[in-house]
Amino acid sequence: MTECPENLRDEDVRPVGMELDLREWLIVVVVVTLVVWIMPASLSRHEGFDPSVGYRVPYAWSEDYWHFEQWCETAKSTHDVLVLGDSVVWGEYVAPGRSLASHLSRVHEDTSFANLGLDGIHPAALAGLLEHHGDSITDARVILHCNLLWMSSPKRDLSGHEEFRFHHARLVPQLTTRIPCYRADASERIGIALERRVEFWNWVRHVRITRFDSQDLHRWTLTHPRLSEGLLRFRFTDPLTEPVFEPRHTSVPWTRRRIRVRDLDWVTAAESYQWRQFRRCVEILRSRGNRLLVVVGPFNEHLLGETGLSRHRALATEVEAWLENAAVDFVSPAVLPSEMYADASHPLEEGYALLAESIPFE
Amino acid sequence: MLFHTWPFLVFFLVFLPLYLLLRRTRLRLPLLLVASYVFYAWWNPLYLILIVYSTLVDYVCVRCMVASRRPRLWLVVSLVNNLGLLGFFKYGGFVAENLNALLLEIGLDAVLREPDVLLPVGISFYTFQSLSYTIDHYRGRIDAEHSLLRFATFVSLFPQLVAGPIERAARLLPQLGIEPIIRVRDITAGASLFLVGLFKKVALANYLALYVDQVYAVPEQHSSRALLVATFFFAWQIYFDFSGYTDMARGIARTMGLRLMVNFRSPYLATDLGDFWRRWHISLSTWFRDYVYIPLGGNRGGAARLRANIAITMVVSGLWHGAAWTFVIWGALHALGRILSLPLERSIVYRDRVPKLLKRVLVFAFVCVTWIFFRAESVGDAWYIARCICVPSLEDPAYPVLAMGLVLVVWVYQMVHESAARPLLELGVVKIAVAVFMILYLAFAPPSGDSAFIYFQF
Repeated sequence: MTECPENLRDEDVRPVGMELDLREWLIVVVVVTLVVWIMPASLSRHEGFDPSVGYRVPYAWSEDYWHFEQWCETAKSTHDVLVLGDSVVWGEYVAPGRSLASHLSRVHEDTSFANLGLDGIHPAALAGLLEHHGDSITDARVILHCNLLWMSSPKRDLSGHEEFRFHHARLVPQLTTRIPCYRADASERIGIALERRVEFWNWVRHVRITRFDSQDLHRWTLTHPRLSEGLLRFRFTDPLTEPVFEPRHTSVPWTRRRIRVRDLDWVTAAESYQWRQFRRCVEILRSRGNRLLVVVGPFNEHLLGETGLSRHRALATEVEAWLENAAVDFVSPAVLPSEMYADASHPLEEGYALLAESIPFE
Repeated sequence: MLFHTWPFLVFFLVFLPLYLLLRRTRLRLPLLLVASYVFYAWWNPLYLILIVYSTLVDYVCVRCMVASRRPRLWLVVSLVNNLGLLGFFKYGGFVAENLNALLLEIGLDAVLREPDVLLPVGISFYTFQSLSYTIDHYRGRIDAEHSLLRFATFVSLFPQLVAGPIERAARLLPQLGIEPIIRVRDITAGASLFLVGLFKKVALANYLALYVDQVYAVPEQHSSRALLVATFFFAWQIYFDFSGYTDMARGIARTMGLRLMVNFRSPYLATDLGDFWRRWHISLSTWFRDYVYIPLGGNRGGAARLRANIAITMVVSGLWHGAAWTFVIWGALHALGRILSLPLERSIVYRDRVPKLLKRVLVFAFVCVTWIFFRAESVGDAWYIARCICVPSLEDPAYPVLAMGLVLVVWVYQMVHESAARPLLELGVVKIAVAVFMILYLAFAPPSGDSAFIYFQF
């Protein structure tokens, strides 16, 4: 038996490029592993992170889960209570330092509250965030906000069948659970599933978001073509500079935004995907020894029609019943005055102040 | 399923251990065939109908050639079938569109319906590969393949199914007929080839494409310098894209104990146009040489006949790449360049007096001009770009310096590779450094997208 037929000439089979033997490959694997292992930790140590008072993850960094991990670790050591949730916690209509966590710190003077909210983090994404990037939230006092808005339609609940591009898709289950409206192809799903398990790729994403305007290096060099304005000036070890806050919305009540009273297409707790995921968040946090307080709502009931209101209240009752049965501490603050809401679920600053006062905390 | 995507990695990680396990058994070829069909069906399961049909027809044609007193008849059947399929799927729309324009021009109101069919990925490649088998058998160069299983595997072998290299039956069928010996060296060499190919595609071709696509989409909005740089970048983009695919294909095949032919040999180091075609898409250019140019008479029959044969071969080669006038012009330009440069290349002055570097630059410049027609969206755009780049401008083309730097590093690497300093590149420490750089660059810089290979459309 011959290894290759006689009619194959030497020059046909000899590689034109480089060819590494086994020993050389082993060295390559060792070197790459070392670099990949050491680089993120050592460079981020130099990078530094010194959050200001009332810090929250900047909007532009919402999908930088490496930074979220950084902030969790810092917040846990510098604050007494961590407040987790979506843009209601983050403070969609208020400046940094004016969000729920800041008002809670003001109300409960001897306790400091850290804003761990992320813009757009619905329960399914939050569960993924806690599972893959929230390891450091252990044995802590945690307030978890439950925003029923995510169950106000099959689309928001991610139980609809029509394709829908939602926030933080990288955090939802990629290979284990089928979300009908999520249509990423196999390549993307496998890539994401691997990426969140490999620290180096999380760090690469962090670098892209914080240093390259959320672009990959190649696209970034298209807008920064010269080395002098781009790569030569760029250093991984430069201190992390927080983007300047620029309000994305005007802080006016919902009634001045032409938002009409409506019913919304609420899903029931039994069929809700987001509610299942919220319960998963509770289980993850409790399994890590955290002392948990869930804040349910308050949803802006002023914009709901009669039918919508009864369906919302029925849902809230089911949610509260589950929390009670599961022996989870919770509070359902009273609905705020209409003018204190900017939309269906986000309070304005006065709303946060009032809300903070209605959340008892020992 | 593209080589540089996760599904392929999963597919291959499942396939390879099974293949290694079964390589000494009768199940090796069935496994290879099933894997190849799964790989192909990943794009569209309907494609399988066509490849199975094409395989059966050529298999039967050759069996009939053996049994028949009129083998030419069966060759014609095979040719008509293969070229007919290619013509229908690839050129049907082009022919109908041009006939409609012609009919309109002469005042007839008849409209031919353009076939609304999807061009099956890789049809040009496997059709040519299968065709080479029937022609070579007819010419008495190879024996008929008795095993339908082996022949079907030869036509559909997944590493080179969709974009070549276009293997000849005489090279590949014997390899499929014997038990492969797979040593550690085959695995490491295969991995080396795959890494180089992956880097060429993901880190270089896709990067250059960002600039090229931006400029070629609206050429009139860019300066002549930007058009010049985009054309330069495209020359390298298409090389990295296609040779990257070939490297990966050869690397995958090597880990399976199969040797696929070299398809590129640093084409931008060519010192004349003939040399360029001996380095660029070698499997296709030798196919056209053996099955079109030589049957036409090759270089026998005088200068006029030689020129005509070159022209026909190059234009047909252009048309093979795509059903558009831009490809025809691209082929015609190469034919013109080849015909005009033949006397020069044969002259002692050019051969001995002109510095090698100058020859390389001249050939590269000419090839770049032809790439304008290959890449442009239309003939009008191509003429505009060709005219425009001749007019100097001072406007900043704003190209990414990093991309230019990477291209120049590769160019220098290839020059060193072809020089007396080549042993430097074969030092272990250099190879390790290059491999580490490529892996880290791939892990850090490029997006996780999965843009397809340019040659898939052909």
